[in-house]
Amino acid sequence: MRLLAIETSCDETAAALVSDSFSVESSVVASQAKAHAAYGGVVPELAARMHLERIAGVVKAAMAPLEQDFSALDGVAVTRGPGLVGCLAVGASYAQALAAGAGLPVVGVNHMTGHVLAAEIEDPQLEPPFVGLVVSGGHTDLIHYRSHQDVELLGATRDDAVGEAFDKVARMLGLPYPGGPEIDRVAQLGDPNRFRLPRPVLPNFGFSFSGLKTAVLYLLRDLGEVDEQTRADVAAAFRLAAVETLCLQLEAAVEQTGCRRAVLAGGVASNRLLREMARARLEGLAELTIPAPPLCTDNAAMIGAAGVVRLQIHGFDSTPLEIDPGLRAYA
Amino acid sequence: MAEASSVQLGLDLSVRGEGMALLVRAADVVELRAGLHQVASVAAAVRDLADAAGSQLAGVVVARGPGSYIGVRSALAAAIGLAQARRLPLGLVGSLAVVAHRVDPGPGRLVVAVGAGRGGLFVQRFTAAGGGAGVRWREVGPAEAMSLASPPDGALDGDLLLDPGSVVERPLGERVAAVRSGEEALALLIARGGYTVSGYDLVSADYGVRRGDPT
Ligand SMILES: [Zn+2]
Repeated sequence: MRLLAIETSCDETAAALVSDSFSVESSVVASQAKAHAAYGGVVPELAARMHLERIAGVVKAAMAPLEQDFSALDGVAVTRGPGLVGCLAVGASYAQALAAGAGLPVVGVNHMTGHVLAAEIEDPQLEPPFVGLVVSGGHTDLIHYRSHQDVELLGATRDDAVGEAFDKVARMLGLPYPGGPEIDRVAQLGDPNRFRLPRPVLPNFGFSFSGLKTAVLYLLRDLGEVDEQTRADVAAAFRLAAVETLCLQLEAAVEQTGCRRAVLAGGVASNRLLREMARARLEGLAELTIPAPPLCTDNAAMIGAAGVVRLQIHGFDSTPLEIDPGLRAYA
Repeated sequence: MAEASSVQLGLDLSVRGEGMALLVRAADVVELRAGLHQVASVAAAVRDLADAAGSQLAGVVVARGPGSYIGVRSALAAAIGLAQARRLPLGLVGSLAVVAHRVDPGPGRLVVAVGAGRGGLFVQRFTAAGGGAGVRWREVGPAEAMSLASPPDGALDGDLLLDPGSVVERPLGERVAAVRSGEEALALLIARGGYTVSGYDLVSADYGVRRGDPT
């Protein structure tokens, strides 16, 4: 069984071919990051327009192994939410019309479940229950993934998502958007222990990255003019504080739930320090699966993986798919 | 793009809540799904019509805007997807050109004005082109977005003004009544070839309107 998966919920136009054994025959992502960089963040209308202009070409590239033969597919998986309304509308309308034209059924997928189940591609033997830490520009969620139909949100950020904090701190440091990879790059050259920043660990697995961001703001104000080395040291101190906070809570969640498996997912999970530290902290406690970096940032292979799991439980959608920009994560 | 037995699928979701999908043979509407609004209803209509047309489907023509934010984007996306799946040519038509064809092409200038929401107006001018049975309204420049309260001087001056939603309250120009429905207008425009053919890998989604970037 083979699905064509399509993802357009934010600023990546993506398509992939995924089998029911979670093997990925193709995965194509057209990033819009450069186009949005000039505005310091994602411009929803620009994102929708770029999806329209790129979707056919992206799908064509993903279909190359099948020589554009849609009859070699068993169905189409597409993101139905959460996400930007215009972007979701483009993906869902395109996917359903393509499926109609090719006589294929459709399965709608929750984007956040997609992030988590990207781990199935990394480790097809992965089975619930597990603890998940999902970190991106919009989410900082600790979840207890008991089964595919029972996912409990253990805790989340009270304010900024961790990816958002990376973007905002990058801007304070004069680094371009998107901030995550830039901070990661600059922090490699810095001393993380020259400055000490708070670890915003809240009760009930809560996070507050707004407070950490404000601490960086005050630090920079106190420092005045900063040279290259100081800038790298601040980036390193921020990265360490953010990553330690995430790992402390992940470890606590593993201990509380008693899960022997854990998943680290979402765009921020491509951060090198986070990957290393999470592995070290969970050593002997739980087996940790982290998708390869291209499967952490938005992509369609993860939508295909979540589509495969959804099919096993619910089958294909029996009615036409409606988008849901505010769809509850992991629902 | 059409042979005698072939049909074309037309899609226009520019007017919020009044989206339409239809099959056209010659200039006749042979299947119609009207009142389309959200993504699901559009998907259902496109699936119905693609199934009904079967192998006779020879092309897809879509209203590229301006109009409803979600509607125009959904329509373009659906048209691209269907054209790609069936390897069909994709035709683009201006949404205000569809409105214009609710009146018969004739002498003079037609000014089409439709509501754009939030106190805005889309305005486009047309003149008749072609002759005999092939006559149709041709755009004079792209549609312009303007404020309904204070349109620029002369923006609404024309020999005729078609305004199906009655958004333009001031009696500028001679107001003409529509002689055909929206779906008949789209069918007429498709039959008379009033669209530009694009590959399904659309290179530019400009929604047929001139206004500031990036929106
Ligand atoms: Zn995402």
